[in-house]
Amino acid sequence: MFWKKKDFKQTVNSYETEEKTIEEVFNKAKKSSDFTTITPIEKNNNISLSFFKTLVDSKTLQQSLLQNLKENISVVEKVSDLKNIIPIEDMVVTKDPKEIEKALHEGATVIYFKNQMDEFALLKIGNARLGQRETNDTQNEFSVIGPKVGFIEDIGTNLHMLREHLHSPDLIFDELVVGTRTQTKVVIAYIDGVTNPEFVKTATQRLQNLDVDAIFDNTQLEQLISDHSSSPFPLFVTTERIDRTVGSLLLGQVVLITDKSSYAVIGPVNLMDFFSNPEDFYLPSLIASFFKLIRIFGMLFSMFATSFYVAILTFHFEVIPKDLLGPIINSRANVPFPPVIEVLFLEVTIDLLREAGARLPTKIGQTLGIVGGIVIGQATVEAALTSTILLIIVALSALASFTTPIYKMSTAVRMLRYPFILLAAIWGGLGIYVGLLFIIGHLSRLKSLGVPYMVPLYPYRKGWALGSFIRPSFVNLKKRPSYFRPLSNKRYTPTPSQDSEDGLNSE
Amino acid sequence: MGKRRKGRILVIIFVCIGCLVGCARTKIVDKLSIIHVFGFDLDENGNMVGTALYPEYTKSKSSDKIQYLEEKTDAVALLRPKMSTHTSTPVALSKIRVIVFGNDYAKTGVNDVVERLLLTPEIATNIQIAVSTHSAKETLNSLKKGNLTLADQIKQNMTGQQLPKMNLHVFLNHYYGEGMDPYVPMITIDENDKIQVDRVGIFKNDKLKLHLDEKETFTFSILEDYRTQAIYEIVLDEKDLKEVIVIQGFRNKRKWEWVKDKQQLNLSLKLTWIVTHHPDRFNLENPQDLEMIKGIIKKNVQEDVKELLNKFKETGVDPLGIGNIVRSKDRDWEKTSFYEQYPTLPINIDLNLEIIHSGLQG
Repeated sequence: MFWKKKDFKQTVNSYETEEKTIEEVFNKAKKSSDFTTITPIEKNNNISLSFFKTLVDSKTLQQSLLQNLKENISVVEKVSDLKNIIPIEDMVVTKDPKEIEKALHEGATVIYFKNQMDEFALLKIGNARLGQRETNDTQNEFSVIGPKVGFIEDIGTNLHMLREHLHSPDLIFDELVVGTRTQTKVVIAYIDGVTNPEFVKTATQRLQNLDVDAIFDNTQLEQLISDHSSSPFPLFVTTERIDRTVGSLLLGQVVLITDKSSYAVIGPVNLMDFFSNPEDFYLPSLIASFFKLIRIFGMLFSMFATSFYVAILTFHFEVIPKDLLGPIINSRANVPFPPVIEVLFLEVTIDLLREAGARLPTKIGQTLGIVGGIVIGQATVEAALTSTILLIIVALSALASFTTPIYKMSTAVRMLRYPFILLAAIWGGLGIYVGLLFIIGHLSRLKSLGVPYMVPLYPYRKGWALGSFIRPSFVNLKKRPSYFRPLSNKRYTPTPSQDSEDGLNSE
Repeated sequence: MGKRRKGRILVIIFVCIGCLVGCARTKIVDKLSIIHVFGFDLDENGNMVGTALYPEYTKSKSSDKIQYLEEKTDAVALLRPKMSTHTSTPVALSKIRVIVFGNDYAKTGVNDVVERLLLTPEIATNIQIAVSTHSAKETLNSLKKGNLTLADQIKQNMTGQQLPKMNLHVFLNHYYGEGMDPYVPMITIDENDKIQVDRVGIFKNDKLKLHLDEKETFTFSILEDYRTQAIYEIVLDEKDLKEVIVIQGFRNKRKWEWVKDKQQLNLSLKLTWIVTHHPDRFNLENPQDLEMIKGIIKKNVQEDVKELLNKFKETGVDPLGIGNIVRSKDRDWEKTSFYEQYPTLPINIDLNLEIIHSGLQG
């Protein structure tokens, strides 16, 4: 929605105050306390260095720049002479105030003569990794086996890791700048000759049309360029795993990487992509398929378990098996609320716990688990606010919702159960059915970068629909999914086994 | 503009939902009196007496807190609303597990209940229907003292013991089907005031006509069920306790054949049975002895089957659905003329017995 509106007010690209002269640039910079100007050489008072102390790498400044400058000051008469004496490759000589200002904020040092302010040398000695974390374990997407390395909040490192994992001249990084104030770098990565250029074009166009002041994270960018921003479902996969990113690049998807964000955004994707996990590919296909089915079941269970509880206990007691009738009624006997209030109470409690657990410092988090899980759960049952059976169902469905590998999807599932609970309380089983119709209708309307969200299932793509539910063996994964319209379909050609029938040990 | 209209439509939808909610009657599971057993009787004036038992699960997890309801009306449909006047929560019929007919009521005809109550979709069809040898009221009163396990008791007897398999679905099929009569398990109250499953009762149309004895029930179930595990005893010598043969059913195949030009039925029975007890003088490892014991069993069973069929023919009931079997093989079948001919219908029995093993059986 955000990018669409731009169609009729495509105007300014910068809301920064317009600078006119070089003096104004320096005056503005001087307002900040970390802006420093030094005159390092006593004899020649005119030569000055200006930089933001917080941005430059002081080691380079001291050891390469100042040292060489001091030793060879005699040869310098013009700014352009500096090129001969300073061993820093990234050096530009310019007069453009705009360029100088931009370079200053990227960590450059400006060298000039005070008496002749017409030429300026820009030396980029910025320390981009200052303040960045060193470790890059995956924080939120764990896997038991497989690589554990993930992205960090630095675009240079992230791109480096991508290149390192995918040694191919076809891997293209396309850089754009988004955010009128933050000037955040966004890289569109794709594989030339595989990814359909339409996706790259669409992504580029959406990013270019974007008019925002700041981008804090890729997950925010994802919402700004999403096809339906009002949908609860995420329309792009956000991942911090490198193997997942490389894998999707190889399938012909586009990856967005933003500076200062530890998440990569993958698009176009379909609904079932959210239930697959890189670990699926490290386990045997049979086992991986089983766990993938468990995850899909977990999603359905987490969405519908409590609403079915409400519907059955409020309207359709006939479907309760007779041996279960006793325990259910007995556990509900002293509960003063109708099932819907009981369920909402417990569901909100669980969500409070989850939200508190996500905000609390790690050390208190442990305690919270005990307080929430045991004390609150036990106490509500003993205080007859909820029934024991419901407690089990709610706990199970909360557990099931965390099986979804992509966090954004699992939050969507968690949120969607509330409308279902309300519908079940209003119309019983019919209400759940009505809600399901709405969800299916909504899902089949969604698109991710122009590709239908439900794709191998609806519109049905023969041969790919089954792969949404299981993890096919590698022999059957030799082609790229046709619904991503890759330019080359073939990934590899499996060779048949060359072993003899009897095995290698036969006489 | 579009957005405002959308918002308005949403508001209208929510108002509609809110209003419609007022119309829905919630049936919250713990705010119901869920009937477990329903009994029907007739009193002297011809009024319906409905009796019902429902467990109070709110007091106990198992069904041992049982409440009793009794109401008299002249129409079956009025029973439930009248019963609700006695209870704090509405009476729900949809989880009825057993329907019990009093003996007198079953003999005068159960059509009223079947038409007015059992055909309503609210009542499940996989439930048990039974006739008591006493009145339903007495039966339910003695049932009240124990646990509400009547349905399980009847079912258990159907899978493991003598009774042929039966539920309301089969009952209704036999009731409305052409050329067959329904049969039901009978229950009785034993000396200890406990409910006992007491063999099979057979209806003619909607009236109870026959109450089979133990031997007949066994014979009936081998004719009706493919896999009955009923136990059957053949006494060879009244005086000697050891002189008995006990057999247990395992598998029964039957084939009916209608010979149209002779107007007779051929029944071929293929029985696969287990001998659980036999007198010591027979050594079943000896083929001659085996043949001998087989001969004895065969003779007995043949007689029993013949006797049972004759009994059916005499009383004019057709629980085996012989009329239906003939109808399926003869396009000129007509109900009235067939049942005129039925008492004298010749049925030839061809028995084939196989003993798969012998010894003790649980």
